[in-house]
Amino acid sequence: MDHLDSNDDKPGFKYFDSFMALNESSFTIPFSLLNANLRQHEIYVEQETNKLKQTLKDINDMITTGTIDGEEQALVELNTLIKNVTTFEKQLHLKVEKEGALLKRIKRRAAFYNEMNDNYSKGDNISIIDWYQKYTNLLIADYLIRNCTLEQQQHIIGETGDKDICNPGVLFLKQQHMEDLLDTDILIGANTISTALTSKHDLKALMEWIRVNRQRLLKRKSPLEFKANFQHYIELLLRFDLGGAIHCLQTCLFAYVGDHFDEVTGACGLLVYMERCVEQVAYNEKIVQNEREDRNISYNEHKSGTVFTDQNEAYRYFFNRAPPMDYSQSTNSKNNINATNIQHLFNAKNLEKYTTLLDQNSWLKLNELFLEEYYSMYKIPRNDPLLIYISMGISAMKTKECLHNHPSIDPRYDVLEHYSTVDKLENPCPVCSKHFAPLSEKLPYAHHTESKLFENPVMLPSGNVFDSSRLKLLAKTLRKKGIVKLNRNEVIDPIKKTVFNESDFITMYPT
Amino acid sequence: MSSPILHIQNSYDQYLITEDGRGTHLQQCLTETQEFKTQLRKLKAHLNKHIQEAKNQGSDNAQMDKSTQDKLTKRRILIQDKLNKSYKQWDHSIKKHTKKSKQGLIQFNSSGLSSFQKFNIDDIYNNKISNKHRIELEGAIQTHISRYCLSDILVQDTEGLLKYLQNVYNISPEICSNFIRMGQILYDLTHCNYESCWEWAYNEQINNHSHIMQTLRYKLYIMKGMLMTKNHSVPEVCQYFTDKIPNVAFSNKNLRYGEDAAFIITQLMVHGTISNFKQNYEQFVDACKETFTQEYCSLHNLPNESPLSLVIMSGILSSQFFMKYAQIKSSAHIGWTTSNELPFDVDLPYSLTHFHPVFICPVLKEETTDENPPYSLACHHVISKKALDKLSKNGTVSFKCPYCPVQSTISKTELVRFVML
Ligand SMILES: [Zn+2]
Ligand SMILES: [Zn+2]
Repeated sequence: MDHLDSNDDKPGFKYFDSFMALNESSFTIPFSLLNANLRQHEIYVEQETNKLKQTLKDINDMITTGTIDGEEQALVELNTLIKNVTTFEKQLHLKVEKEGALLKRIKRRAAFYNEMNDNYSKGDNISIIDWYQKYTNLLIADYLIRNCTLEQQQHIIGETGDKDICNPGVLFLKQQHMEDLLDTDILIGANTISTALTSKHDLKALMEWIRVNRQRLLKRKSPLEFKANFQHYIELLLRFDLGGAIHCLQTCLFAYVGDHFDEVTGACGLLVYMERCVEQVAYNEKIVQNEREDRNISYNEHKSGTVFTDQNEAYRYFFNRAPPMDYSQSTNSKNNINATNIQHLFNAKNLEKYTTLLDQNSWLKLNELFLEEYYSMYKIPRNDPLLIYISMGISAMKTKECLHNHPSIDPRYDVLEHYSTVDKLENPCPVCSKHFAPLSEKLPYAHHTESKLFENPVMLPSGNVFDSSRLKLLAKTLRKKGIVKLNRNEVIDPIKKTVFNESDFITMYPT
Repeated sequence: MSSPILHIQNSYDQYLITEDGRGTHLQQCLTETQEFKTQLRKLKAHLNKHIQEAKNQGSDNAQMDKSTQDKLTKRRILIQDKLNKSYKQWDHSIKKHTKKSKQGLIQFNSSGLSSFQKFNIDDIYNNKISNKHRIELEGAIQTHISRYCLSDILVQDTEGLLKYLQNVYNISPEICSNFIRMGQILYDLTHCNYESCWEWAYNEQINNHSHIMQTLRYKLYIMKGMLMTKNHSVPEVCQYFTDKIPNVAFSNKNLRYGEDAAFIITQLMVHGTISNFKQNYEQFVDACKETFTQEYCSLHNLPNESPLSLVIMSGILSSQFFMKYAQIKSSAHIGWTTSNELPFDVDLPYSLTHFHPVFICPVLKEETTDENPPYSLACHHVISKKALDKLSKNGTVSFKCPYCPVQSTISKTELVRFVML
């Protein structure tokens, strides 16, 4: 590896400061956690000292009576005081431990990034590469933590039997001894709430998070709390829990009517329409009967709407997903949604509005919104940093020759051993590699203003241009190993597999 | 000196070391509380004793004399005073340290964190990788883990390791099976067990790869010799180096067998043991692991570096070009150009660019492609086909090379291809 960094005026990595700007959250997160830790401590101190002060006052009063009784009472109170101080001490101990752990994170991280800079200062190429590998591992851990699914968690618990560590990224960090380099607690916090939303359609964890961070969300005018409540409301409706839905509407959603007028009115409309759906069942059934008697009217003839054969299908059409488990039990007897009923619904003017409210992606959208808030709160990159670096890294390396499957020779493989299969050799270019090629396709090419070729380019009669010294070296090794019979002064074109004489070399002047 | 890391380290030190060196202010809160508690316990004992005495005095003589009573009152007041005083002191210092702790954090923020340039990494993620490619992306991650991280996993029997990789990292045997043996041997080397590596090298050597295995076997011999110094006498170790190692194993002149062996023996002679054993030994082991990995990968036709780490390295090195561009764009209020080429030149080291030749047509300043390939002129200057068509008016006229006085015609030109070796 050569001139990984061509820095003359200042030792260290030339772009260290701007690289650190991209890693700012490595320090801001533990800092904000330190702040939170201290804030809790402050509140606790305030609260406890007030309490202790009262106890102390009581003790003073009892002692001042000057009676043995008073003194004995004071003794009891003093005991309480000691007990309270002990509890205080325990709490304080936790806070101190937390502070220590967070400070350790900061220290380790500063050392980690310094190490990179030092490697550059020393010009130690092996360590430089090693460091990039460590950083890659860090990005992988971050990716694994963020993208861990419930299913994966189950697999891991099955393997390790440890319920506390069921995230592959955390295990990976442990194995790499890099625990302090990533704020796993924060990332896992996001992952836990996120998977509950997307895989379990469970709002509990999100609601709790919103409760704790309400002040901040209000300050940011975030719609998250409203959206979460709205989703809750929709879920109640889908379960045909009308009472619950109305309660939710009144207690949670009406408060937002100022900021989310359209959605709240939409929610009300949805309620009316769902209610009617329930109420009108009997009535509709009657109509259907009448219609059957009166064969002249057929909805199918003059309406182009879809007709559903059963209520599951109707549900599926309308809500874009499978009906809930208890759907048939809770609703079957009472509200049969039949074709006619649905036809009525299709006549509703605001149908489109309702379907968007009931969009199947609403959970995903809610999740997106949550992650947006969560990550911005800790100033964590919204996108997976691994993907960001891959996208930039591929583009910076992608040449016009990439992804073409030209046969080419990897200088690092043992050409001698694999000479006969040269055509099958994979190109060592990372962009062209099996896993990256498909995703490289859509990314832009690197921009070049200068040719990047090799020294001493010579053309063979085949039209292929090689580095002359490399070509000679190849011939020499092939001759030595007896893989190809070559005379002195003869070389082989490894692409065409034709033997040429060195006198055939044509010196090229590509630039 | 402006590096944000230095600022962080300085502010860290400042936060950690308070004036009297008793740890952070929060720690001092704890110390004070512990002292306060001890004090309270003492006072409780005093009070208890005082009550007992007062009771005794009261029961001995129905009427306590005045001096005893005064004494008791005095002591009662003393205990009360002490209690109030130590509470006040504790309360004061807890609040003081809490306040100072807060100030420390404010200081940490202003002198440490504010030294960072402000930049949001999301702002340079212009070319998003679609979710469609998750599987391939995860394949790259899984390959990387298989290549570098198997020896860090405690489970090392083949079946268990395969199962572990599948369950924890979702890595299929298809991806990792080539790396399993390598991971196991590296694990053994890390845990002072070189037998498996030895055996592997021996078998591979037998399978006609003798020239490749030489370096590795040499290193293993040295490692074994080093380990011997732990529980063998000096003469035994010397004998090992002189007699037990076959000369044929070291026919390669490039190997500095003599030097390493001499180092070990000299150390033994002079100190009776190897100074800095741990450090020296680890150095040997690392060198051994490195050689083994290289040879294993080359034998099994595995890339020596994972594509992922190369791509990430390229990404880190190019990130500041992206940042600079984003800053220029945002100050000029122009959107990101959506061409299929980056709008700026990224300067990468040779190790990341040697995979393909890049030829820029000197006339049109464009990179040649399959559609617009390079052509050699009669003088062996090279230009792109498009430039050639222009100069030769689509092959109808003879023309002068743009870089030298030689005349060319289309018949004297030749399609060329640059190949990296
Ligand atoms: Zn490529
Ligand atoms: Zn010329």
